[in-house]
Parts: sequence; C-alpha cells; structure tokens
Amino acid sequence: MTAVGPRPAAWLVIVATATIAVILRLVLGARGWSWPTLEIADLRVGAIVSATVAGASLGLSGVLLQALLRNPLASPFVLGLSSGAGLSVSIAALVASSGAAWVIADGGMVAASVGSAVALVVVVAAGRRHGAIEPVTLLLAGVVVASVAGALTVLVQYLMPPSSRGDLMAWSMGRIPELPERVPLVVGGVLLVSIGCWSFLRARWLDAACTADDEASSLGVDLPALRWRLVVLSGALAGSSVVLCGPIAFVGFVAPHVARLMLGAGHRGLVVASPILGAALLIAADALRLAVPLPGAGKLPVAVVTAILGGPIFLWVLRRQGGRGS
Amino acid sequence: MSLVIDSMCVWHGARAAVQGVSVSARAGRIVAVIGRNGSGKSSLVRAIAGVHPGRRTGSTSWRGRDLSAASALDRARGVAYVAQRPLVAADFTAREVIALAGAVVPRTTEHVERAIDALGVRDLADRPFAALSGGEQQRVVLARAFAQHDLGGLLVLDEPFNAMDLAEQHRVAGAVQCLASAGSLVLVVLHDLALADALAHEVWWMDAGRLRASGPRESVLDAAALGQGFGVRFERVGGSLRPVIAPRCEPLPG
Repeated sequence: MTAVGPRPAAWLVIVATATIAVILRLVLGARGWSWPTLEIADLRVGAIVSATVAGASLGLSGVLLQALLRNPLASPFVLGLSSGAGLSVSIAALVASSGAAWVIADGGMVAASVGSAVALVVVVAAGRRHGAIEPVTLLLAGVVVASVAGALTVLVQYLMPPSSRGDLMAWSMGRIPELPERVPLVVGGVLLVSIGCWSFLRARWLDAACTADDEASSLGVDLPALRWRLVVLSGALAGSSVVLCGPIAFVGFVAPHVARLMLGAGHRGLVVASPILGAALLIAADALRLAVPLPGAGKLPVAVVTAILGGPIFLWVLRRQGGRGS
Repeated sequence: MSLVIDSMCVWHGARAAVQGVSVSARAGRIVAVIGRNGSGKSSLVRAIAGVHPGRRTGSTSWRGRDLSAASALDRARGVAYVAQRPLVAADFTAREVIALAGAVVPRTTEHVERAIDALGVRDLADRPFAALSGGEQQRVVLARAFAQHDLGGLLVLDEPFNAMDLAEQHRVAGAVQCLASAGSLVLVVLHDLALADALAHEVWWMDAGRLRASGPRESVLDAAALGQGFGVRFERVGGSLRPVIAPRCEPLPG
C-alpha cells in the first residue's frame, strides 16, 4: 500500500531536467561554449560526477532533515550543517598544515561528518521548547550556528599558512572539482547509495514521522531510534558534500521542495527524486556560473549561483508556511 | 479480563499525573474515561497506549501480553491510538493520512477503504488534510486508527469528539459501537458525560491522578456523585443523564 501513485509524467520531467543539466555542463567549459574534445571531456565529466555526488547528497540530506524536524524549511545549509562541516574541515586542514597530515588522510570525511553532526545536535538542542521542536527557534538557532561557524572558518583561514590559504578560501566559497580526489568521491558515492537505499526502504516510516510524536509512535515507528539515525545519516551526507565541493547553500532545501511539488508529500518518491533534482541543480548551477562572464578571467563561485537561485524560493516557502502557521 | 492495568503511575517531569491506578476491562466493551481537566485521564490512556514520552511505572497487559515491555512495532499490531489534536506536518490528502495505518504494520488498501466507509469520509478522501475542518480531520484520523486496528484489538481515543458537530458525533459513536460489538475494546476519554452515558458500557472516573470510581455506567454515572465531583448539578431525564448548565453573571471584582 503506497501513499502516492507513480506519476509517470512528473518522473519524465525530473529525468529530462537532469539530462538537460548534464548536457549543458558537457558543452560549457572555462572558456565558454564548446563541444568537449577528448582532452577536456574528462574534466567536464569529472565536474559532473563531483556535482552529482555532492548535489544528490545535499538533496537527500534535505529530505531526511525535513522529515526529522517536521519542518519544510530545514536543510543542511539553513541549519548550519554545511557551515559546521566547513569549520571542522578547516580546523582539520589547519592541524594538518602544522604536521599532523593524518588528520585529513581520508580527505576530511570524518572531520566534515563530525562537524555537521555536532552542528545539528547544537541546533536541535537549542531549538527545543518543553521537549518539542519549535520551528522558528530552530531556524534561528540554525542561523546563529551557521554565522558563528562561518566567522570561525574565516579565523581559521587567517591562521593558515599563506601557501594553503588560497585553496581553502576557494573551497569555502563552493567549488566543483573537475579532478575530484578519489577517496572523498568514492566514500561520498557509497554513502549516497547506501543511505539512499535505507531511506527508500524506510520511506513509509518517514511518512508516519510527519505526524505528532504520540501518533507516529502508535503507528509503530520507534521515533527515538529513527531520529538518531536521521541525525547521523543527514550529517554524514552533508559532510560528504562539503568535503567534495565546499559549503553550498540551498540545494538541500530547493531539491526536496521541487520534488514535493511534482510528486506529492510521500517519501517513497521524495527520497529518489530529491537526490536526482539536487544533482541536476548543482550541475546546472556549475554550468550557469561558467556561462556568466565576469570582469577579468574570473568565474562566479558555485555557492553564489545556488544562493541566488535558492534564496527567493526559500522566502516563498517561508511565506507559504507562515500563512498556514507552523 | 483482556486489559489489565496494575499500579500504573505516570509522571510529567517531577509531577505525578497518575498515581497507582489498577483497573481492568473486557474485550467487546466501550469504556469511557471521565474526570475534570488535569485529573490524569489523557495521561492514563496515553500510558496504556504506550505513547506517553515521560516516566511511567506499573504494567499494562492486553490479552495476556505485557504492553509495557513491547516495542512500538509490536504495540502497533494490537493497539491503535487517536490523539486529542491530530498533527500532520506534510501535504497529504485525507486518504494518504488514513493510509499511514500501513506505514509500519502491514495493511492493505482494503483495510483503508473499509475504514473510509466506516467513518463516512469518502467525500473527504481526496482533499488535502490541512484544508479540512477540525471535526473532519478528527474523523480522518479516526479512520486511520480503524484501518490500523484489527477487530478484537484495543482502540484508545483521547477526546475524539471535541471538534465534531452533532451529526459527526452520531456517526462516529455508531462506528465505535460497531467495533466494540465485533469484539474490540474501546477506551475513550470524554468530557461530555451525557455522551459517556449514551455510549459507554463502563466508566473509569479519574480524580487528581487517582481512580475515583470504576464499573458499569449505571453505577458510576450517579447524578449526585457527579454533581459533587464536577461542581455542576446533574439530573436524569427519561433515563438520560444531563448537566444542568445555568450560567450566572457575577460582578467582576473591583
């Protein structure tokens, strides 16, 4: 028994969107429009693979967080997870630059996961009132954690040796690598597929978790266990995306919303469509930044493009949500 | 006895909301749980349904199975629960909300359709749940509990009639009676004592966290005792219990 029908037309649009985004990125390079030659095809495919893993991770993380918090405004960036992961990776890079290279031997995966999970725990703890999660307080807590983590990341960058600072700064503004490091990419891919499968198998539990605590529990959901899993898994996904591409705003928020508009609220569709749309959005944002000329030879950081696209959608959902009450 | 509650204590933080309640009931009955606000009615039934989040002691056994130690999944197979104020934080239709009955425990489309008919919510089924009135939402959530519930199981309802108009109350009361006739035990928290008198076979009267009285409806719903306990005069007219509500304007102090 499923809550939502298959909706083939919506799935067709989702797959077509992802395909168009991939084609766009294939024909757009650092020097503008050009069909990829063999020499540069690897680089463009590398960027597409990186953006796919990072964008899909953010999309899935967003769905899991929105189910965890019963709040459609939740996302890894808005709740400070990406910033927490960014700070943690920056600290790890600082420690590594002083000789302890083993700290980021895994490409920063552990540091990023710990950072995003710690940020989520702080936000959830601060966003609770009388044992229940209070949406507005939660969002404010997320804004505070993101701001503090962002400021501390700048401080850590200042403390870095000048030779390593440039790389870290470029990464902290969002960067889709054309030659991604193997370890974060493989670990991120494995995490994405395994957490994606788990989410699909538990999709109906996520549906039930959208009801009040006592109702969800009476429907058979072990809420405390489910919530801890969601905290850890969404933190790991956000962390893996930050390691690959740096902190990127709004993909984890926009992708689930677009998926919900097209497929309805059932999580069986959402946990599949949101990662696809997240990947498509990040690939398209990467293509868009290459298509927009800047003075000099510079290019927009990808996080700027996702923020420009995602900000207005966030405000629209906030107004819609405010109209209904929380 | 099918449901046996032994020395149940329930806490909200440091405050004991239910203190040492021991009571039992048989399957095939409707038990109304009554009492003034804050008397521990909801805490008691939430603890029985296993959904009270705070500390509780004592035991609840249903058909010989210890519910206190059961997992959420095991409990959901035998016990369905409807909260006082339903919450659905997703844009589900009414039918999708009812289908949540099968989110964890196995339920077929037939269970859902049967519940939709039993509660008379077919005309609401494809409308967004959030757009329904309070009474309609309550009927939809009741239909979800009906779909989750196996005949012969335990159904726990916490003030289900509060937001309903009289026609809705009449319909739902009939559906609850059918369920009890088919062998289920229905525990229902009620503020409306006239409805309790019309619907229930037995009554548990909670007062300051303790069980003040329990037993057949006729013996517990005594007009004089109720008047003393609730601070309102009751009378029986043609065999039906009714409170005598006579509002009086009293001058404000100062």
